[in-house]
Amino acid sequence: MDFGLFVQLLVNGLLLGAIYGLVALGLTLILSILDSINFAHGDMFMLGGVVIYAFFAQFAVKQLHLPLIPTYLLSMVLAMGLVGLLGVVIEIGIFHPFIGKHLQGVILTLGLGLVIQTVTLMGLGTVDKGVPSPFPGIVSWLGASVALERIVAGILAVGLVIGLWYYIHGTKVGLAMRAISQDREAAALQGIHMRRICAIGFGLGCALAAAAGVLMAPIAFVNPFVGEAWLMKSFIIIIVGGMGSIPGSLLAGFLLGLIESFGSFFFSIHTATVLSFSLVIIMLLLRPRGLLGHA
Amino acid sequence: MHRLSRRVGGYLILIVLLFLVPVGTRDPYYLYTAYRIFLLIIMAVGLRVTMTTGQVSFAHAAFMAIGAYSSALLVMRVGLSFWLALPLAGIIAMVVAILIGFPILRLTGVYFFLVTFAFGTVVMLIITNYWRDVFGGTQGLLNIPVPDPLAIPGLPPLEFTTMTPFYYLGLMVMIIMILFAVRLDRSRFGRVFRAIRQQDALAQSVGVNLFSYKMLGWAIACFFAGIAGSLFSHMHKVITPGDFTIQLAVYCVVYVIVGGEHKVSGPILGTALLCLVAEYLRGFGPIEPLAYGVALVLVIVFMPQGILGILPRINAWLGNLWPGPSQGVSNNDTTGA
Repeated sequence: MDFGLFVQLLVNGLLLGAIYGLVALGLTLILSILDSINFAHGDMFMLGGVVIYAFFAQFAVKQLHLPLIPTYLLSMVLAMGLVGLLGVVIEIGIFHPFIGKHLQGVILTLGLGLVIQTVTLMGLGTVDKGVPSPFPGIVSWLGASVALERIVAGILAVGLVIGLWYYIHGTKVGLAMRAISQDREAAALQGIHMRRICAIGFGLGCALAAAAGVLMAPIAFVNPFVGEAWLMKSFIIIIVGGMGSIPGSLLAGFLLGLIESFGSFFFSIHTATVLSFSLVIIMLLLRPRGLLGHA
Repeated sequence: MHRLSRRVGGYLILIVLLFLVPVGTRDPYYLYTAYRIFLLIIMAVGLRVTMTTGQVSFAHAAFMAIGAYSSALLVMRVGLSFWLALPLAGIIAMVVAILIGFPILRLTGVYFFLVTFAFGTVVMLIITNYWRDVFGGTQGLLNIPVPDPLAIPGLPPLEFTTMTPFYYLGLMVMIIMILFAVRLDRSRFGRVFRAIRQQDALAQSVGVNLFSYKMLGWAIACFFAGIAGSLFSHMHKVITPGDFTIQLAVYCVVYVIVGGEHKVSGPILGTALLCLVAEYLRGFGPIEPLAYGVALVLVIVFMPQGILGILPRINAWLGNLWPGPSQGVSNNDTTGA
């Protein structure tokens, strides 16, 4: 294999992995703060794409002819805000009593996911929607050529992850989140406002998924069911990376991106998915707590 | 004793009525819908077995697919009779379940949901994309033969040419599977399953081998799914990977939750009710998943024990017309049915 091809697969894998990591991080955040799995997480990803399609592609670019790049970034903030708000509303409105009740939480979010999907289907239709690329062009380096939009998407994803890291380790809310994830009762006894932190955590998790949806929309396409594959990938990542571990999620995201990139080049995309699931089984047999998880 | 006999009487009347349906109508639409509901009831009742040990599987549709494909292939490629392939399909699904169970049954709660979800997706991926000459890829398997004629002494041989014999086949298998599930629930195993679910550590401390009991429940659940798969493939005569989506797996969980999972009658009620509602709603566009989604949210928020949880209230309201239990159902009684 020549070097250029290797670099290309490596870079593509890492860039995709950064976005995988971002989606999984949202799920990890919700899992560690609310001790529940959000089965509507894939739909939050999808909603991010829908906002970018509706606001950026259909409205701002087609109707108002606004410049691409600033509008795209603005739409991203808008998508994160809207979906994050939806997350906060869901948490406060219905989810809060089911914190820590695994099965109920899962069924509830499954139901919400079905509702979100069907409502989107009614508004959007089943045809795949494309979103124009805000960063057209190809970058050639060391014999590899990678689409610029992928590079920007990867960098933005890593930027968001770093931002989240600082938010969790540098602010008072972040401190409260870490306290809750360690010991719920003790945190409540210290006077942490449980309801508020949980709502923020859920909203933030959803916003991260939406951000990933925004980043993927120009690269792939938008339809009401794109979230399902991402939900499954996030599941694989958080099992491999270790439940509730932020660096673990990112590491496993990169790992999954590389497996998909190299696996689909040498075999096929399906083999790559089977390989990544085999990784889950191997992890469960050898190291059930995940790469960076603690018992 | 009086109440028990009245309850058994109620069930018998229901079964007799179900047996009489094809006498009343030969419309294939009604019989087909009924057959589909019978299969889904087998699925849901099976899924409930593993749910009683606290392990909720989102791979149930995949195990149905394993049963459907193995049964069809056993008949088409190996030349076995359907009547042998039916139990074998269940056993093959069970063997796969046991193999995958070794790594995944160590997980509990959310982590188990995640890994079964991923496993279900991967199984369907393999069936769709690998060994196309065996599984037929996205096209699936075509021309699956119907069951061989069944000779019952004293009756003309039962030829599977119309919907009516299929209706009776589905009904009979469903009744057998339900009786098995009820028997299991009332046995020592059923009690241990519930103990595990309620107090994992306590059950373990009194000497229950958690892993082997969870494995047992898991294997039985997947056996049910395999049987349902076999029944599905020989009636449809065509199976494709699109018949066994993750959505079907989710619906199975929905049926159990909406019905109530502390008794066998929960998944039966949930499946029958939701399927009939879905059938009614079919004409109104993609409203079926929406209705399911709303039903799920409402049930979780307002009816934590499903339909079973509100039956006593309806019962009291109807003045004990319902042949079910009249007192609280939440205390874990061992009656099962």
